[in-house]
Amino acid sequence: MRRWLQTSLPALALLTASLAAHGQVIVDRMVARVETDIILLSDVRELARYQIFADGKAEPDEQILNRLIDQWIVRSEANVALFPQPKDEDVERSLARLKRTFSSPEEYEERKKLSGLSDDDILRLLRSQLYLSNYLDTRFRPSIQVDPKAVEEFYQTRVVPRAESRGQKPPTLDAAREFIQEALVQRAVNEEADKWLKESRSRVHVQSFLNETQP
Amino acid sequence: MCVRGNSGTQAQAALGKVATHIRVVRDDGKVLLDEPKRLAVEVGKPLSSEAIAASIKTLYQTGDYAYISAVAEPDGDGVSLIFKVKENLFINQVIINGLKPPPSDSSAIAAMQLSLGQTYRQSDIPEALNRLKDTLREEGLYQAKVKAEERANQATHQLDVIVQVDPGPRVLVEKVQLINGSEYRDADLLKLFRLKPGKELTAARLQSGTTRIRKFFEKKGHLSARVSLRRGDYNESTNTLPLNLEVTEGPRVLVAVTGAKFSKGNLRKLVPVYQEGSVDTDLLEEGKRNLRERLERDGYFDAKVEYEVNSKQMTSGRREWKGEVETITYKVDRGSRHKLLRIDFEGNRYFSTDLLRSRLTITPSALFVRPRFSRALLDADVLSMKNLYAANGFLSARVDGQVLDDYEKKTGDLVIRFVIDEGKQTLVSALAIEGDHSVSDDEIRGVVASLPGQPYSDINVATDRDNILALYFNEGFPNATFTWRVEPDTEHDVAEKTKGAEARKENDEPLETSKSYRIDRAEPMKLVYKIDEGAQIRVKTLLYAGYVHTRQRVIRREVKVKPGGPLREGDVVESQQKLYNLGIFNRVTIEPQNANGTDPEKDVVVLVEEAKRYTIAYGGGFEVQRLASTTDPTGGQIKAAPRGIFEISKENITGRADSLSLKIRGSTIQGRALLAYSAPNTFNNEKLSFQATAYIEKSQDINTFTQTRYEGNVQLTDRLSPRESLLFRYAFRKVTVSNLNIPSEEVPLFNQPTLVSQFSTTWFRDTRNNPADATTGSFNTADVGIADTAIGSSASFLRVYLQNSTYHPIGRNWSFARSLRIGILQPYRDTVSLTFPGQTTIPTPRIIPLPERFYAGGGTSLRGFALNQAGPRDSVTGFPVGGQALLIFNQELRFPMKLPFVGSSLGGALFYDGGNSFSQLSRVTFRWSPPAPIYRPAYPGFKPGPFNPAQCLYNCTNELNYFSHVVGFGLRYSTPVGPLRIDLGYELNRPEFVIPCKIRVAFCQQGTQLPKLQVFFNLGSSF
Repeated sequence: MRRWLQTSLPALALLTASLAAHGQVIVDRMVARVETDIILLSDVRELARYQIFADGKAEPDEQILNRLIDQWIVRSEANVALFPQPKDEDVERSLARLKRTFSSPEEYEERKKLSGLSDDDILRLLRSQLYLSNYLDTRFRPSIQVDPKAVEEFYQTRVVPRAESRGQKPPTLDAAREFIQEALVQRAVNEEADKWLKESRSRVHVQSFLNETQP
Repeated sequence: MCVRGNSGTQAQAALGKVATHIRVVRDDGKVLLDEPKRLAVEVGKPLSSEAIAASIKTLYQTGDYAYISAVAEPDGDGVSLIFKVKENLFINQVIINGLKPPPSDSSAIAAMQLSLGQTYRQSDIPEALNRLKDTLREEGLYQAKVKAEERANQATHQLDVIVQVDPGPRVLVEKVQLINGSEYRDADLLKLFRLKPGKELTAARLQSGTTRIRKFFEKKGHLSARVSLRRGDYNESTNTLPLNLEVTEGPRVLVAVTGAKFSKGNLRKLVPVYQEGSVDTDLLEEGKRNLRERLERDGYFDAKVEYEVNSKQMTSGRREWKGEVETITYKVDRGSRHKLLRIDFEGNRYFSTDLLRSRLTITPSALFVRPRFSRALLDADVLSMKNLYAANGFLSARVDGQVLDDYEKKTGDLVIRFVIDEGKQTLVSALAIEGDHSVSDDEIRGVVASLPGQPYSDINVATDRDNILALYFNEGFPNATFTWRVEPDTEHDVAEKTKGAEARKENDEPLETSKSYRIDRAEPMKLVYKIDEGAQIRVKTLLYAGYVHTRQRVIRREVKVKPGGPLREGDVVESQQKLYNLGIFNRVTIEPQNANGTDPEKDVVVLVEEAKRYTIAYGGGFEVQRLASTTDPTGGQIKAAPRGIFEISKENITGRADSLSLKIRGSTIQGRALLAYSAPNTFNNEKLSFQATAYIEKSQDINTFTQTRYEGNVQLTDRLSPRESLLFRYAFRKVTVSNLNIPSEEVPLFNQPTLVSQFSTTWFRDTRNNPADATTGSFNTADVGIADTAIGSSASFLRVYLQNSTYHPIGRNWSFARSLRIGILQPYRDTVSLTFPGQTTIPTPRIIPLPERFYAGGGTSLRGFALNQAGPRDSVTGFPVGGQALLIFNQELRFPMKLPFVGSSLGGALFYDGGNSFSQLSRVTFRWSPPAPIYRPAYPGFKPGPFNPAQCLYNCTNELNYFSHVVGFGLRYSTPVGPLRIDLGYELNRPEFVIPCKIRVAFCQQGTQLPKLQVFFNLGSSF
């Protein structure tokens, strides 16, 4: 956050000062052009609000913009592939899962209020994220093979120590196998997706105006 | 966070307030749009974050803006919303300076991939320069330096890119490292490669070097040889580049055929291992199919083809090649030869047998025509017939192509029978069109085939879709889409609905007309065509670029796209064609700026690239001419001479697409200098064009004197329609003779000095399918001219010339052509007709100059005579003097022939030519022959001899008014510029005429006849 302030503050302060002289205020603007599409400051703000809602704090704007660019790449691919939108029940299930990450319903409501998001906003953003993650999963999961040795290693290095640290009896390897397998697949999907996104970014024309008042 | 919160707080304060004013303002403060339409934000409504974001996206999608910010300004109780924008620029011209080809300027520009009208982004130019550098490196320009200057025109939003290239020296070959995986010597391969150390490197040289090696291996039978070339690391200090050439030969492949003979060329065409340069099962199988297909076409319908592949090592022979040899042997069992007698049809009622037969690719044996038949062709015909029925609503039609071998127990005789089960015909009962708002229903129905009462088929619907979308695209709706649905119509009476089809049947040639025939109908179909028109793209402004010498109005005049109108694809194509037709542009591009933006108002750019203005051509040659003799009216002399040609022309001399050219051609026999000026669009009328020509020609048609011809003419051409033109012409010519080698009184009348000043008008209409070799259509022309002594002519006469030629196809390959030519010359006032014998007493009468008279005979006229040898002749010398009337009929039956080696390119013709050139219009006659001359000795009663020569007593005028009849046969070999013709003509009624005795005896006369047979070699059609 501090870094963001250091980089963005001078430019925005200058802009604000010049506009303020005319009593003008920027209500929204382009912050990036991705191929033939654009990302707005309001998109950055909305994702920042969602991060505040979900994690209690927002990343710097540059990072949020990078995420939005990645999302644009995935969404464009998914749209071209006519990938189906998530069903309402899947979105509801995802919302329920999100709610469970909060210690109490009161905390959920308090964070929602703090972020300024409405229930509809949260559902819309969840639906969008689910669409993207489903696409990545469908795209990369079939090519992923999990080595049985990796499952055992994960059990020994992650599951057992974690259970012991909580003073619980670790589950047996067979009982935990399915969960571990899924976790490893998810990890591999993320790795593959990261690799693909990195490659795609090099091909996509992106121009950022985040720190510029006007290009 | 603090600033964002701060500005965010102010922004939040603006949100929710009512918008009092909305504008789109450029970065320099200019208001581009006041109260813009189609945005989510609206005046009088509260502002919301979502509406502002949506509005920015809508504005961006128009493609007009590179950057947008939304600024709120307090305005009383509400806020004024300003969209501050930076406008987009669009790529216009890309100009390259300093390049040393290769690559050419146009290749370099293409490599940059900067398209006309493309939205400019800062990153585009560096990327384009990188691509250009890659291309330059490919061509050996490793040290090339490129830099681009961007010139923006804010008024038109265009950006010109001027690229300065400093090509530097072209890289030299350092060494060629050969990795030779073949049995051939390194030196031989490197010799073929040709690129030696120290030689400049270009992509073409590398390509041709590797191609030569590959062809060498191919020739030696190594069909799967590989030749690969890699460039080594560039050495900047020496500007050299090492090359790594790797060659693997693979086995030597021999293709042999047993059991049948195929020429080497045919085998290469039929066995695809040669073209593909590899050997695999698929290619061998394809070769097997091709060979069988060829044998079938040759009548060996039972032919069987198998193949085997054998490999062996060649080790013997001291100087011979050693290595693996792969032999592919196609074993052919041709079986007995068949003859395709005929093709029968059964069960066809809707289409006539003639119509079905005319669509077949297979053909039975006929005179001069070899049958064309194979299983594959038969299958193709069956499929084509099924499709024909399906397109006419017979969705369940079945066609069975039966081969009846040994027909009527005659071995080898073959009959093909197509057994057709037409099934029921499905018709369209109703057609509804939805979504057509901008194009009228009637207009759409005008391009649709699936109208009520017409046959229903998927093929027709697909055609309708293409036609409808073409109509919309041409009206400026590039995003129009078409969907359709169909359902059985159970409500309507089939009989009632088929009335339309019956009506169509009466007008449709293919339908059978038998009254007893009733078409079985299936349930009719209801069709619904749904059109989503999308936005209509309209032209905002036309921008012109790329012209240097051409006047803009010349370009503007040819451009059919108009500001304010829809951007029609047809107009764009027509404009391009018209600009190309001016002949002064190498390239014409017409593109809208911001093609992908949603803004329906587009600026359209017309970018031209002017061609080089000067063209210089020169050449040399050798000419051989048959010169007419002055001493023998039926003889001639062959003379040869070296020949030189020089031409220079300047296009677009005044920027009006006009041109001036000077053409000089000379040899020791003849010479000609011609200056020509031509200008299109005379008087600003695209149908008019002006031509002016002046030339001097010195020729030696006869080997005893030289003729000099001075001619000037001006002509205005009015193109009434693409096939019809009217020409207005004035011509002045003077012909003189010089360098006489004989007394002037012996110069034949044909070459007497003349002066002609003539106005004329010509109309012609040409509907021939191919003027070089027509098979259908017609050619008509009428030419009327007047020459008068009052305007400087040496005689006063009226000239009329008419021609009517028609061409009629017979079946698929035969055709009949006929032509009628009529010419009339009528002297008036101070000019009289030439008399026979001519008046020699002074003063001699004024007659129509001989070069202006009508002549007949030759390869495109009466083919029983040599060039210009028909018609009246001089009563003293016997030379042809032409006539004042012309009547020529030509008839020609043209047919195909198929012979070994020449294939189907050869054709034959049987012809009859009739007519003649007559002394006067009143002397035109159809009589078989003129009265024969009658001779007697000068001193009757004494013995004829040198001192008592024969003299013509009666019928000595040589007027020769008769109707000649010529029959003949010809061969035609088709070439891209027309048929190469050999015609053999035989005149049936040769007359006798009077000439001076060949043995020089004073007053001696004798009779003679022209040769019976004439042979002509010509390029182009006879008429």
